[in-house]
Amino acid sequence: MKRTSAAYLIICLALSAGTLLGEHHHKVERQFIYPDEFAPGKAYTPGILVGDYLYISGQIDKDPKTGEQPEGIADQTRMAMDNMGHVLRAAGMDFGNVVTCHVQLVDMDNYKDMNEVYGSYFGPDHFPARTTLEFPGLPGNANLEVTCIGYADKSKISLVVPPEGAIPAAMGPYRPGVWAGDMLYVSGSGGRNPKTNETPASIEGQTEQTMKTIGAILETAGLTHEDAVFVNVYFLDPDGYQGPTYGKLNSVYKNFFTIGSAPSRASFCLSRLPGTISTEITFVATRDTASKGRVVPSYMGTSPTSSGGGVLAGDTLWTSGKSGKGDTIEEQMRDSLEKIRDTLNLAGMDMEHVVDAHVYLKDVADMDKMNAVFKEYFPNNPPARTTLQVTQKQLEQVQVVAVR
Amino acid sequence: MKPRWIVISLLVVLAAGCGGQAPPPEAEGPSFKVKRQFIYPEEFPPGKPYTPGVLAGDYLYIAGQVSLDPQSREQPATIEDQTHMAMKNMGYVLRDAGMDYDNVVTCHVQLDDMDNYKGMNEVYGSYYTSGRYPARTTLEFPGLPSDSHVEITCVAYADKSKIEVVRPGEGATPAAMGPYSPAVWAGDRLYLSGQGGRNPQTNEIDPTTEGQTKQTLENVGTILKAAGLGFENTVMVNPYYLGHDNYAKLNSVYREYFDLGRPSARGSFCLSRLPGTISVEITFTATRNLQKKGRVLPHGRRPSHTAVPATIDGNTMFFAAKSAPAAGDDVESQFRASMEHWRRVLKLAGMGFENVVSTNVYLKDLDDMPKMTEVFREYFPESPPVRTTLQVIQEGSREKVRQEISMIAVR
Repeated sequence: MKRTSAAYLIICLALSAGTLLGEHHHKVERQFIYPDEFAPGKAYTPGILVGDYLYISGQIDKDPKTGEQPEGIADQTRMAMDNMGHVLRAAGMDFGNVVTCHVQLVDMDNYKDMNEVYGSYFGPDHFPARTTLEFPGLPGNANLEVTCIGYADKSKISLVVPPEGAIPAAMGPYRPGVWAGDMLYVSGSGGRNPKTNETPASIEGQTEQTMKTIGAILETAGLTHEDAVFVNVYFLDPDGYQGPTYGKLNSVYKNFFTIGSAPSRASFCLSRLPGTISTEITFVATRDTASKGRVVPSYMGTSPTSSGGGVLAGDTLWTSGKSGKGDTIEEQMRDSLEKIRDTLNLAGMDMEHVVDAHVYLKDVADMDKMNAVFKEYFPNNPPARTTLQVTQKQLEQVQVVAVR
Repeated sequence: MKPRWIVISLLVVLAAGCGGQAPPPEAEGPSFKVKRQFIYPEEFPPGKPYTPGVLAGDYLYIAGQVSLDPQSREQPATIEDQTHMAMKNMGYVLRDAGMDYDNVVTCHVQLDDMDNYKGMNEVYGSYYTSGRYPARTTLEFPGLPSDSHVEITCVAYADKSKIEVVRPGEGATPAAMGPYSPAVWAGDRLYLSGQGGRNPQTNEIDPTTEGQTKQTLENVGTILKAAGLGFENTVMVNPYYLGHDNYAKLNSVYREYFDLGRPSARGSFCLSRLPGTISVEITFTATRNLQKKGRVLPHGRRPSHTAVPATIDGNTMFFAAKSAPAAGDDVESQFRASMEHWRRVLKLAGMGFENVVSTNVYLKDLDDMPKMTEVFREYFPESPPVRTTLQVIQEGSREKVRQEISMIAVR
């Protein structure tokens, strides 16, 4: 049963808070996109169009009905991209509307072949921002999972390309930064020096270079690091957060923000990153600083590296990553979602405002148990979702985007 | 199957005419999460820019009541009769909200002459029959509206079974100088009386501002502890002090009590006199719902040890006092700039000016009151919040500050 493929639905504009109707508590209109090609009953919605932004669930390399997985990374990439295409089409968009993607591989050796197929869906004038990562595990033994955001108004999509030599040359079909309305999506950046093409040996040196590269992209767009609303930090360390890398990375990262102004953040220990880098950082920033701010639960202190709560730009809120207390995945997941609810409540929102969720598991085998809790919190019209396996001590971590 | 709201919103959108026009406001006005009632007793002449009382959930916010007859504007001659007048005015609001004086949980008693303290006390105390006095803060301001000699601003709580006095052990805090309780619970919120720097053991007052501030906060800490709370539970605070130069001294001690970025919303004011011989008095409001407490910061706001722009306690948001001396020399420009700042903060919390239930406006010169009121009406065209207007001293580096506004908003 189709929720809506409603191209006919005229989304006029946000209803004012004064005219809330029935059980509908959303200020910004949204459409839940559930294409015919997908099997019903998923714990998440394949796509949510909220205002002009289309949040697309992580798409894996399997047939969405039969669950069959093609052989070879080329066909696998095609499958994931075609799945994403179903969502785009049902939302009245095409690949030219895609503004940013996370390409999540289980084997970075597939980088080149993935690139070829992935790139063929875009261009020649438009490539989204992109972050490519190798995760220690993906759901359903997928070899590839692609998570993207689309933007409805192509006239407000524009590319940000710093002057030649200011940042390292692109290693694949992506652009350094992409504007979608007032939001800037910056590609995952690593610590390669644009002049020497070398990667510093130390994690501190790499982090410094990475943040400078991001700074060059932001500067080209007329922004600074402090205009960021959300950041993903990825790093390599066999001991996860407990290893030495994370602290060293943070000791440099924090220097790019005045205390108390760091964006929301979610950081993950992975198995491999492109090329020889050992940290990669992805920024989302806004030019609408008049409507930007933060809400922080009082039990969170002032962190030099993270909002600790949520950063808002207009009606959209990005939470920091939260992991929960407890012995079981269910207990931890519930605690994480309650913490997220605390932050949402401060902004006058609740779980029904969540449009996109990222769930990071220590072990993707916990997927079913996680899903059961996820359904408790999102019984109807659940958000788009991407689930990934990362190297961490805790069993789960959750991060969400919510819209009024 | 389409969710029903899509159909409904489509109809509304079509009815409103698509093309950028917002649907007309519904007759019943904004829909609030916490139910509220605007109390306008018949004893008050119509057309005030503020509402005499707003009941939001169980909390009744009462506008500052002056010592003038609400209809004839006549003021009785003595402080006793003046206090009776202000208390009776407040009584009308309580009555219309279905309450009486024993529902009152906290008051600010604002005098224009501290010499009237004793005379006011006798009358003020006589209105509370349960023996359970509200928390109280008594202050002398350099000016009150309409040349009133006393102005009383109170909060009442509908459910008497959830009103409870907090009394630290004998000798733990200075003995009360009048009819007030150290602190009063109203539901999950604790209202503390204004505290000064008297040492409870020696009954002495430190000659330095720093010493007084420290003793004041120690006294506050003792009361909070007796209620099972700590400074992290505080949501709103008003420090009052004498002498512009003492502000920095006060802050140098105050900041030691809060982690970076985690103090309460705050409004600090320089006054003309405080009770007894103290030169610092501090009033706190706290919550026991630490889990539902948080802070709101607009972009670019740096964390400090002394204040955040706004604190949220569940469905209630407490705002610091906002001045805007850079916006212009006139009170209108400054007041508008303060309100625009608060609009941003309200929006971050998912609220708007329609959520504001209580306001405190501090003017450098009460002659600015009509101009301030004009702008106030722009922001609150209907169902306005309660309001208390006071004159404070702005000197030294704050000389250009013509207004400050602090507010309470409820979802």
